[in-house]
Amino acid sequence: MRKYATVFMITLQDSLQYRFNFFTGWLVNLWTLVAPLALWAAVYRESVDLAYGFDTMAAYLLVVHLLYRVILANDLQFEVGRDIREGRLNQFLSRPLSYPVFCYVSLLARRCTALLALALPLAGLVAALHFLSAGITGLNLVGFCFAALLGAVLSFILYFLLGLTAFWMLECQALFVTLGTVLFFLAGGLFPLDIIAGGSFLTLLPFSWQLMFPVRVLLGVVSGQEVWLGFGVQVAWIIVSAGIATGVWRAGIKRYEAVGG
Amino acid sequence: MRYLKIWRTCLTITLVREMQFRLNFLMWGLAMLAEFAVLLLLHGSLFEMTDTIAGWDRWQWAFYLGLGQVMLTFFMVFVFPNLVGLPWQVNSGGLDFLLLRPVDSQFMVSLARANMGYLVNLPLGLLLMGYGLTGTGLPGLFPAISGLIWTLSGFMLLYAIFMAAVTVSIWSKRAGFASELFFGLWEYLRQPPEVFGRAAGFVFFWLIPVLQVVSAPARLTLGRQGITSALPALALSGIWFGAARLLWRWAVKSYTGSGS
Repeated sequence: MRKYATVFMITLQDSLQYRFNFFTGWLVNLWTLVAPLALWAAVYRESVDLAYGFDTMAAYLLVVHLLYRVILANDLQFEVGRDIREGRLNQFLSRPLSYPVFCYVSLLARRCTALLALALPLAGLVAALHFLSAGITGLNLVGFCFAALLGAVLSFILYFLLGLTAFWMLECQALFVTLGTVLFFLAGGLFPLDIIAGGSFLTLLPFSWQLMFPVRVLLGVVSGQEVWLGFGVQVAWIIVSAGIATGVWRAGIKRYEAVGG
Repeated sequence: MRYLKIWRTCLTITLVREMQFRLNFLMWGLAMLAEFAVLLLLHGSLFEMTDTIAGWDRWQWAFYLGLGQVMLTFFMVFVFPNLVGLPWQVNSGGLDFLLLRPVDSQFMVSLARANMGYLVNLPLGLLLMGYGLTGTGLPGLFPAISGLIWTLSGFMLLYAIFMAAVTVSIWSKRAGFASELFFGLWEYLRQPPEVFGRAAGFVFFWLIPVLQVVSAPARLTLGRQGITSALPALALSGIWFGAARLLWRWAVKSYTGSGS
């Protein structure tokens, strides 16, 4: 375990080293909130009838924008792909270190940094939503934390799996970007999927359980039995995707030619 | 003329290089297309619920989106692959070699590479503009020409804003935020200014005038704005371009090299 603790600490230090870059990244993340919020405000001004009220929709967008950097592992596939393509995977295969665990710990450290940066605005937001009676209760918060944790694990596996395609494709950066966009949408990163026609069908896929479900729990859009059912679905998808990822990892390692490194 | 020749040579080299990975070449374009398809799905769904958003009907909105997509496509083809790589060039020392060449460094930093794969987005953008015009009617010659002039000016403004942002990497050494900044701005290019409230509208229309990039040419073409009221957009393009140029020259002067 100590070796993974060291990996965690080094990654943490690295992600905090370039503070200007980190701060501007965070700031940019905040200002990207304005455009979708403005669009939805304009839409609601036209008195449309949606499953979500404007308050809930605004809260959804705010929470998603603040949290997707913490929950989603949507940069992991690039790292895994690069390690495979450039032969850096050799270093892991020849040492008593599990590559998937290494990736998970590194990602965890980076996410801790993100959480640290976003803790204050997030706490402010949750408090504001509570006082604005957007349906946030202590129970919702607990349910959300649990769902977000499961969502983050599921996200790690899904994006790790995507990164493993590098075993079969030499140039996969563009594929990652393409699928990254689609996966972000399917995770409910742009808007809640159930507002569009056929959106309910999309929730049958594993992707929305990474991000959309935890946020819906926080905002009280789902409650009671549905929450427990949601936890069950998350766990089921974690097991299924972990099984697939293990199989793909083994097949990929057999195929791996260890060029470079 | 000399710079045109250099640019043509750069484009040829880029194309040859890209053809070595043909699938990858197309996939970059498809990535942008996927993002745009998601956006169309959302905006299409919104116009199923309402006839207008912020005073723009579905035809005008489609034209606006289409024009934005066409401008972004050209930007992604010719400018983005260069500017987004600048922080890396600063860190790796690649900029040292570039500065030694007997060519304007800003020209090389901005236009030496291209990603033709993004061109697969062009037909969709043009189709959407065409779809919009079927509802609004074809513009007259004067609005069409002025729309074209302001499109070029908007493109220059977009370039200048992004150029100024990535130039900061000369000092910060690591400006991974550059691409995030661009994709953050992206959202502002796809919504008419009327969508934004007063405060956000003021900031993004005048201070960081991204909202001027598409809105001025779109409004002019659709006859929603006259030439006189569109002149500030033209002036802002010139000011930003000049400022980006000065910032670059200042940055190059203070560049110390990374040892390569």
